[in-house]
Amino acid sequence: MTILRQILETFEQTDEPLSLTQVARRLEVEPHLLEAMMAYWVRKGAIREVTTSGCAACSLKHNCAPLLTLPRRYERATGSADAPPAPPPCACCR
Amino acid sequence: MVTICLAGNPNAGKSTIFNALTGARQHVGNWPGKTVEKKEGRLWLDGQEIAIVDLPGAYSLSAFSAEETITRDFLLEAQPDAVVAVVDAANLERNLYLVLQLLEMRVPLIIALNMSDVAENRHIHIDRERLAEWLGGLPVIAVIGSREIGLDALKEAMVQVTRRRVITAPVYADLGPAVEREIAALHGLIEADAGLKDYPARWLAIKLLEDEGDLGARISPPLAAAAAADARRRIADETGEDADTLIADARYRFLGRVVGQVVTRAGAGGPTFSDRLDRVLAHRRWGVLVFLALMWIIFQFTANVSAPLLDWVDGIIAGPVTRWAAALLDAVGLGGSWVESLVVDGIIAGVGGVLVFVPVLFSLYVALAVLEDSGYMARAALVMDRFMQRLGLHGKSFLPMLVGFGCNVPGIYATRTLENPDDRKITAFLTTFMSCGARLPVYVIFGSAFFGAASGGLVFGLYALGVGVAVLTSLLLTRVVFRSKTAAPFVIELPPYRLPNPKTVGLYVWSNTSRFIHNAGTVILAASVVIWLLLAVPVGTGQFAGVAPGDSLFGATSRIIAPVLSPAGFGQWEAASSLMAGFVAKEVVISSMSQIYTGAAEEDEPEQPSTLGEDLAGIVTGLGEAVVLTGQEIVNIVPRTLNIIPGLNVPEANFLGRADDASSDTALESALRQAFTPLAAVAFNVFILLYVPCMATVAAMRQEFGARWMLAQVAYTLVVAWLAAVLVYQGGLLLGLG
Ligand SMILES: Nc1nc2c(ncn2[C@@H]2O[C@H](COP(=O)(O)OP(=O)(O)OP(=O)(O)O)[C@@H](O)[C@H]2O)c(=O)[nH]1
Repeated sequence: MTILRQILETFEQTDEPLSLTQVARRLEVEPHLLEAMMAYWVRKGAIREVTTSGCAACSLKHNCAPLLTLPRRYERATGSADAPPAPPPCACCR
Repeated sequence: MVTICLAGNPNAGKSTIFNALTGARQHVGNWPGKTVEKKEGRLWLDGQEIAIVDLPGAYSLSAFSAEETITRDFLLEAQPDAVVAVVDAANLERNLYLVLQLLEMRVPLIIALNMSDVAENRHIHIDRERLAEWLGGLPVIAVIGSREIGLDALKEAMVQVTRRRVITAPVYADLGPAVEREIAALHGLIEADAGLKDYPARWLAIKLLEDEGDLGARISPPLAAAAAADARRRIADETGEDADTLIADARYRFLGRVVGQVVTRAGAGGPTFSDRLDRVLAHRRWGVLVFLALMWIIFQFTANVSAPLLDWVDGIIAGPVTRWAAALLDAVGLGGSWVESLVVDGIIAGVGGVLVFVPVLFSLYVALAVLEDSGYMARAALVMDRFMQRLGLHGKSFLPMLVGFGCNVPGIYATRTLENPDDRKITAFLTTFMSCGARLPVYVIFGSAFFGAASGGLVFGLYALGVGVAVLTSLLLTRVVFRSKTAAPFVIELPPYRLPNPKTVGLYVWSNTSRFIHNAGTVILAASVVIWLLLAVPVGTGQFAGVAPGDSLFGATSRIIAPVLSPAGFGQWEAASSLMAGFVAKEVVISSMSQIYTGAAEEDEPEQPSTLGEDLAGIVTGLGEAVVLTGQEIVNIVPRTLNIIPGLNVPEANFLGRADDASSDTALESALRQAFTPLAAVAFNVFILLYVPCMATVAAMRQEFGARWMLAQVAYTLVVAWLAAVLVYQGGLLLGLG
């Protein structure tokens, strides 16, 4: 099976959003390569990134310790648009 | 005219390089029939004028988006003399995907490795010669577009490529036997077709197998497109996978191999300034010491350095502001009525009592912002995380807790950075033991009432106790309640150190301080009025607004609870009632104490009549003095810190040459000294630190983890706070500290 297919199946097996590190560990793929591969499914609309838009406007975002550790998380983009609850504005930066 | 275009992923820096190359000589329009911006410019190079086209950002050359279609069609139709692939060096894997497709198209290519500075900062080292080899001998130029570094080399490469002086070998990713077989068949078909001679054959074959709808429909004769449909079916039957997924997968595998050989992450190159600093600041043991020392300085800063300004603000609120309000009410005939009591004893004492602490919080937030914006906070998180892991705690939890020092509410939301739901719950639970900014005023007022210059030590001790209780709680939760699994490894990207940006620090301080002030104008104001009402309503006999606090509704209710607190040394109803009020927000502890304690004390302060001019002059000279004293306190951090060492007695600075007296005492401070023994005061502060966090935090807990976890939190904090306060008080008595 292709790695791309394995990635998609990893997401099909769970309802939880998964971080890059989680998937990378499970499939033993180098995380940076995985991130690039993930873009394939994101473009196809099969997976979407769970956004942390709350921090986008924060002045500290480039040095914010919590934000720097925030794993990029992805989830299966199903037809039903039960999007995860939007984070409150700038939760990470006080 | 020679045409060169820039292609690359969105945000790789194409526009930056385009602007640097063309300067003002550019023209911005739209691509025909599209709303996508088209930028063209001119550049004199090697004695001739060259047209430069900035293509829209694309991750791939499919018909996925308008940008990608435009890029693909431009390359096919305009046949530029060279293509500069602008590649983000810090994200090579993702960016090379496009490069691989450009290679398939056989366009004359130059790689501009942009963002080389970012890559270097992240310790990503790229072996350019090796990369060039892998890519068939293309020029690979390191560039920092935003600083116009590397552009001369890039221009030189452009000259070489447009003059066809660069010889490159074709580079293809092996797409696997099933796909390659079909490509070979289609290849023959395409080459035999005169109508398709403008297309690169292998590239078109791949595109048709990927089922690029619009491309298949466009080519004529449609022979090859029809053959491709059959080929796709055969591939799917044979491999059980779509052709386009197989193709993408093979490309990524190829890239994985390239990057694996070309890129080294971390540690490569000489140590940077940040690296050298990190040898101490991020060191296993030294790092912890530095962190503790910094915290010590911060609490000296917040507790002592802000004291003169605090006294100044307090003087204004207790003096002129109160007098002006009373005079105003007198003038409209409300002097001596319950309205005056509400305004003066309720609102001014309550809200003013909290506003007094603006300088304290201001200095706390300045300190936190400086630590954060300098990049230090990430190190603190790393160091403390290692420290806590040694205690058997899971990784990363310290971060939300660090955030909790500012305010617990965002600390709880910051647990979202944890992946495991159990870890999140545990961490949120612990975060409320981190002493937030709103608790600080209580420590400061008790500290200066009972411990004078040593109050910084009290504050530090309380913060440390909070962390200690969190550690113990965490052990309890991970070992007994959740029986947690292995700790997740801690991944944090350490940003390079930098001088804090005054604007960022200012914004941070402003947004937090203004929230505190806003709180004072809303929550605290409302709570003050409610507390005043509860204090004004008599129980049994008495008259509205004329009753002694102890006989009011508030006093009577608090008296019921007070005995529970006696073992901790503060069984008076006044203490119990401020603790109840503190549930709304911890600042309210101060405002309710101001109302309760000073309501009675005010009577014996003789009113000195003064004019508005005198008041204003007093405020100004007071500020001048406060500034001088602030300087003195900053200087005194040094002797006070050294004096911790036993036997050392470094004298402290005394700028104004005043004797240490109680003249700067606020009314509340002297009232507190009568109501509490020093030991009871410490126990009371321990209780404040540990008991139920404010309403907003409890609400955040509920929102994130549900009512059950919230209730558990409330119950647990109450029990722990009571136990700890009793332990401190009774233990102190046993040691003879009473
Ligand atoms: N540190 C650093 N920043 C850069 C460099 N080159 C560009 N930038 C910054 O990166 C950001 C994106 O650059 P753009 O030139 O707008 O990127 P683009 O590829 O044109 O983006 P699209 O228009 O979305 O395709 C800008 O903020 C630039 O200032 C570089 O070499 N180093």
